[in-house]
Amino acid sequence: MDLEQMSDNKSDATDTSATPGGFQATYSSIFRTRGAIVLFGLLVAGLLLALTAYKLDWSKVQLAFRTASWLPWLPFAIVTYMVGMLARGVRLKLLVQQEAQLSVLTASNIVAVGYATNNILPARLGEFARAGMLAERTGMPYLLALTITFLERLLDGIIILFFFVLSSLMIPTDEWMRQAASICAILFAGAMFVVGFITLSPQSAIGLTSNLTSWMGQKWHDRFIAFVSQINNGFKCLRDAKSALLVLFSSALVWLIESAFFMFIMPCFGMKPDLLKAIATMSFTNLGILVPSTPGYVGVYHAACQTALMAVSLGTGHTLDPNTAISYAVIVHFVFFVTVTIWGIIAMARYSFELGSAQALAWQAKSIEIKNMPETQDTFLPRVITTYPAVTEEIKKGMSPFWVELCQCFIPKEDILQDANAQREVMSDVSAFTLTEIESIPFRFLVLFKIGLFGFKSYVLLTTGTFLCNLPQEKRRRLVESWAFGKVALTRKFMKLIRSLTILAFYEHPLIREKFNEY
Amino acid sequence: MSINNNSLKVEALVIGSGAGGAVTAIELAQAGVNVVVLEEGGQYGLESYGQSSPYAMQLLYRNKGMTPVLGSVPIGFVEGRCLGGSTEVNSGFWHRLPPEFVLRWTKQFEIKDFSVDELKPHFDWAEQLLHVSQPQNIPKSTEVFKRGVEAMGWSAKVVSRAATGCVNTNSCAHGCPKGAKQGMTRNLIPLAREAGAKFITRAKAKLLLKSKGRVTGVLAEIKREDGSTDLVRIEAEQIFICAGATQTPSLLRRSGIKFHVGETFQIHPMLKVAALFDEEINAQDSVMPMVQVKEFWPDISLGGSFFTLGHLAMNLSENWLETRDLVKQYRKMATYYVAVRGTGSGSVRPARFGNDYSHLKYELSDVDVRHLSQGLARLATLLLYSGAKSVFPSVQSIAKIDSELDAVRWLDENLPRKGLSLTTVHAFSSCPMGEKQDKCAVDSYGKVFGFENLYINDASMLPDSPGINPQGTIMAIARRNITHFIAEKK
Repeated sequence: MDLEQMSDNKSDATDTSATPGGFQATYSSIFRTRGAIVLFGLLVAGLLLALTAYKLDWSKVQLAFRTASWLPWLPFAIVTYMVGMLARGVRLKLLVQQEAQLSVLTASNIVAVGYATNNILPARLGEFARAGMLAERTGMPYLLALTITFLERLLDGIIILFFFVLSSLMIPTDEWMRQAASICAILFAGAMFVVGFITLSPQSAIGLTSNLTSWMGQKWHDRFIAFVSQINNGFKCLRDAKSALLVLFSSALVWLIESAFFMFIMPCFGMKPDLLKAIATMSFTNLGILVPSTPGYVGVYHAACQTALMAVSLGTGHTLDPNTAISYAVIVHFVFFVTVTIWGIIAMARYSFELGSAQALAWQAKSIEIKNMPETQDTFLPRVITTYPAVTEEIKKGMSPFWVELCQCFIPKEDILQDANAQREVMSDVSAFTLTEIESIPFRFLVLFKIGLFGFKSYVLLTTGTFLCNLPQEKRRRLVESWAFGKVALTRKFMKLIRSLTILAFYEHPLIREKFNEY
Repeated sequence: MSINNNSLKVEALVIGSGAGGAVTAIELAQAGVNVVVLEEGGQYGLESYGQSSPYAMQLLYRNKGMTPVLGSVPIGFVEGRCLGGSTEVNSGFWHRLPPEFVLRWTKQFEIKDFSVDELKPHFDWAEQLLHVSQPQNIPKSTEVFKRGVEAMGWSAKVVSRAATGCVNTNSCAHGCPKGAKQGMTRNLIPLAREAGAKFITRAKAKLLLKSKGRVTGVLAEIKREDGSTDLVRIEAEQIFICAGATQTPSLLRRSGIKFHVGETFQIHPMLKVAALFDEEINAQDSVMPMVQVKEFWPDISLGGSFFTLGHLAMNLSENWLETRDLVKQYRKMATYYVAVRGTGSGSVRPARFGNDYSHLKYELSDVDVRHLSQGLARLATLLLYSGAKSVFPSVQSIAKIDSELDAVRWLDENLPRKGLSLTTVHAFSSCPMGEKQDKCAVDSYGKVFGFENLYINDASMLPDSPGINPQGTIMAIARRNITHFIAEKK
């Protein structure tokens, strides 16, 4: 996703309908539009393949394959890789949870379609196909899906960098690998800073972008602004601490499982399974495939994997034979390629998602729809720089029992309403209002409030041994009142917000007002 | 207005459609200037007004009514965010800027051509358009208050309102469903539209685009009906920021314009007091009490407050365990306020983190606390003299005041800071006007120092806290400034 794509205002419409034409037409189309990059990728892959092959003793490679012990390690590796795909699904589900409901399996299928497309089509078209399928499965706008995919890949990059730096520091490796790790550490710190800055300070990011690019003229200034704005929009989910931690944790889990997959192939070739070495090999290999290459990363993947494995094998006392290392790389690549491609094709078949249509969707949808606003109100037609799409499927969060019970503690004990359904309706509305209002307070205070909420929940758990909702109503009320009206100013301040909003919403509720009119 | 290939260029862009923005727009449009107004909030008809507080908060107020002013004593602050701005949700109370303040500001801030005579035609103009008049139907909550004022022998007045044909729906803070209160959408905005001004609602100015001492335009986000948001560039020859005392400085600072911007934010801190009478007041069925005690002005003002069942309960909630049963007697209750002319120090800063918020800070001064304490003593005494059985201040640990002797205690003692539950609806002075460049952000007519085409024309330019409902002053000064601009350009 580049600036041109983000702000190309030449495209009048985004026709995401599938274009028939099949495999051949797809390839012709790609070569027509992105021939240079595809050819460059082929060249790099060919060169690396040639260099790798030149140094190999093919008889030893054959020997390595003949003497490999496939069982039980290869099935372990395949299953582990598939578990990793499910973990990717979990992460995607988390990333889109504010916009859409997605099952883990569907999310995993979407990821698999992207990977499979990358294995079949060049120029990493799989990322666009994945975004297209995400949009199609969830009903969310393509642009949002593309931003989420971009965020997903960025998180992958950050976690891989982190793993690479960490593992390279913990195990003896070649000097070049240490140096590469140092560079990666700087890249990691830089990436974390940029992501943190854009996530936490979106307004400053736009202001800074505007200041830094104003000298470039309106066209490029606006393109950069559009780019940063879109990233801001996609990073929204990371502004909530809980979501951000879950996403980071799931990303780490994805790549740990991927490392385990690398580790299970090691014993096939007589190597001792070593997770740290597997992490280093996995991370370097995945950094390596950032270089343009063929569909499926043939050549680049093998060269990177072989080099990394040999570098991390230094500490074993003997240098790993390059022929064994390439055999290892071939098997790792084979498992990855075949498993995910089959999975992706099955998913495409299940969702009637043809290769041609995936390509068409990916290719045509890349240009973001930029058009003037419809003539509204006073026939004013400002020029649009970029558009943040509407979320089409709004997810209404169910009101948690905790909030209902917490708000209940501020309501008079006697039942103003006799009807249980009416009582429930009032409390549901009151707690929904209270929560919505609290979520509207400025970010930094919201963070403090959530810390307070965590403190309150912990206090309840520590003092009673259970959660608030499990306590008898009278005890629950006493606990809440001890915070809301007790001697500690801090707890009173924390509860004041909940108390005031609850009381306001309760007495303003039409059913309550109606009842009070009778007094 | 010209449209080139890349962006739209207007002659004058006004940001905000409240008391300052609407006046600026109508004057510019009537002078033949091509003017576009951006309003962050939506446009709502009378059918959306007059609903319950929770509904109104989420529809008509900034941040759904959750805009705290932080300091050692946090203060609840609300302001409108809809076409017409806060004029749609305020009381409509109308004051002319007292001569004392005209002189004081002229002296302290060296404002040119600033006098009662200079402002008079602008007040006249606004009062005529907004049908400012003395209220005819005095509600019971005002009558009892007046009784107390007479018993105390203090000077007070029935405050004029920008309203015509008020039928006491008690919905001022939720938007007047009868259209009696003259918010900007009732008269000024339709007139501005007739004169050619274009109003774009749900349009938030994000950033001013600058080049060599000029502001060339803005980046703005416009929400569309389908829920999507467009980031647009609008170029303008002249830009008038009228986004109010909290948003104007934020926009300026976010755009790198910081000279005396957002450093002198002022408010009128208010303490609410509920009173329980023997007789039925039925404050929930009438407009808020309209008498204001001026005896202690400008430092302390006493008056009546918006009353609904929910607001009463919220005002009582500081001592909820002791007072919650009182809500059932709401027909015999009314709420009043002590407002002080803030003397503390405040600031406005755009949020560095999270969404597009303004961080508001105000540190209550010792003088403020003193005035609030004395104000409470006087208000409680007045209410007890007027027949109240008890008064219930929004002060934690002071559940009620039953006697005059209890009340006068606070003439000499300070209320506990930690127990204060304060609110405010008046904010200003975040970009003071005047020629004194060691404290002013804009010149005597609102032009931002250092920029040849950037102006401020809203509450933020008031140099200091005026101690009165500020809508009249904002409108008069805004008209003075914009007519000066037009005359100069001609």
